[in-house]
Amino acid sequence: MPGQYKHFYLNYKDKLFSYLLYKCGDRELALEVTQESFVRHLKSYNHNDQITPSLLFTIARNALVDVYRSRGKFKIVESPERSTGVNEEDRFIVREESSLMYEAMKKLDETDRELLVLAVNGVPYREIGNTLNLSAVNVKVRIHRARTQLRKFLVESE
Amino acid sequence: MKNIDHLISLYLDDELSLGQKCHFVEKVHHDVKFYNNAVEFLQQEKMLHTVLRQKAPLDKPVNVLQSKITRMSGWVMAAVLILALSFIGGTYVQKTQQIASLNQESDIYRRFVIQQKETDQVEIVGSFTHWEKIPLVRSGKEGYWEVTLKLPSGEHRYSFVINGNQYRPDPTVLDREMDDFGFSNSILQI
Repeated sequence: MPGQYKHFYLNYKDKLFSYLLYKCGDRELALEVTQESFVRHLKSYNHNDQITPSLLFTIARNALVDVYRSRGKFKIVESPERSTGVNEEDRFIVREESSLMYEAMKKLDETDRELLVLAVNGVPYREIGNTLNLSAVNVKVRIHRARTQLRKFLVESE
Repeated sequence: MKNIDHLISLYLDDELSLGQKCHFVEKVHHDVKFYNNAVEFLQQEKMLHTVLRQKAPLDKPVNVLQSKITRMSGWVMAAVLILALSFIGGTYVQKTQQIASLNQESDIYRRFVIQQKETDQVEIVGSFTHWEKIPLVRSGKEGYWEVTLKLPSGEHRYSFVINGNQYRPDPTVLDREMDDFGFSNSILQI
C-alpha cells in the first residue's frame, strides 16, 4: 500500500468513525462501516489518482443506508454512549452539557446536522459539498446557519 | 450593514482566504458585537468537539469478514460465504488485511483523567513517557485534570503524581502492580 494512502487513512479514520457514530448512534456498527468503507475505497483507489475524502464519505453513507435497508429500520442519533464502558473515564465524567448539546443537535435539520458533524471533524467544505451534492456557497451558508441554530437551541434549553 | 457572521464559521473550519483573514481580525478588534459572537461560537465549538470526541477513537481493528460471518444465522451460512469468497479471488480479503494492518501499526490517542480538588499540580509518569513527568491540565471547575497522549499499542504502566511527590494509580483502572520502589502503577493494555 502506498504511503499516500496510509497517510490518508490515518488522517481520516477517526473523522469517518466519528461521523458515522453520530449518524447511526451505534459504536459497533460505526466501527464496522468505517472498516468496510476503507476497504471499498481502497479497492477503487488508483495509484495515479489524487485521494479525496468525498468518495470515502459517499461510500460510507451508502454503506450505512444499505445496513439500514437490510435491517428494515432507521436508527437516528441517540444519546452519548457514556454508559457503554468503552473508556473508563467515560463513566468517570458525566457532563450535563453533553446531553444538552445532543438534544440541541437532534433539533437540527438532518442535512444541517450532517454538514456540521463533517465540518467539526475537519472535512474541507469542498469535500463536504462533493459528498452531499451541495454547492460550495450552499455549504458555507448552511454550516453557519446550523451553528447559529444550535446556539439558539442551546440558549432555549438553559 | 452586510452581515459577515459567517466569517466566524469559516474561521472555525479553517476556510478563510487571506483577504477574509484580514477582514476577520479587523472585525474582531473593532466590532464588540462581532467579537462577542465569535467568542460564543468558539465556546460552543469547544463543547461540540468535546461531545463528538467523547466516543472512543477507532482504536481496535475489527475483522470485517469475521464480524459479518458471526452475524449469519448458522455454520451453513458461514461455510457458504467462505466458499463464495474463495471464488472471488481474495481481493476483498487482501484489502481488508491491508486496512487492518494499518490499524495495528497506528498509535492510539488516550485521554487520562483524574479528579483532584484543591491540588496545584497533577502530572503523569509511565512507560510511555519514559518515566518523565508530563503535566495534566485543569478541566472545568470540579477538580478534574486531563491530558491526551499518543500511545503505541502494547502494555503500559503509569501513575499520576500529585503536587510533585504523591504517586497515585489511576482510580479508573483496576489492573495494578507494585514497582521496585514501592509505588503502585496502573497497567493499561492497548
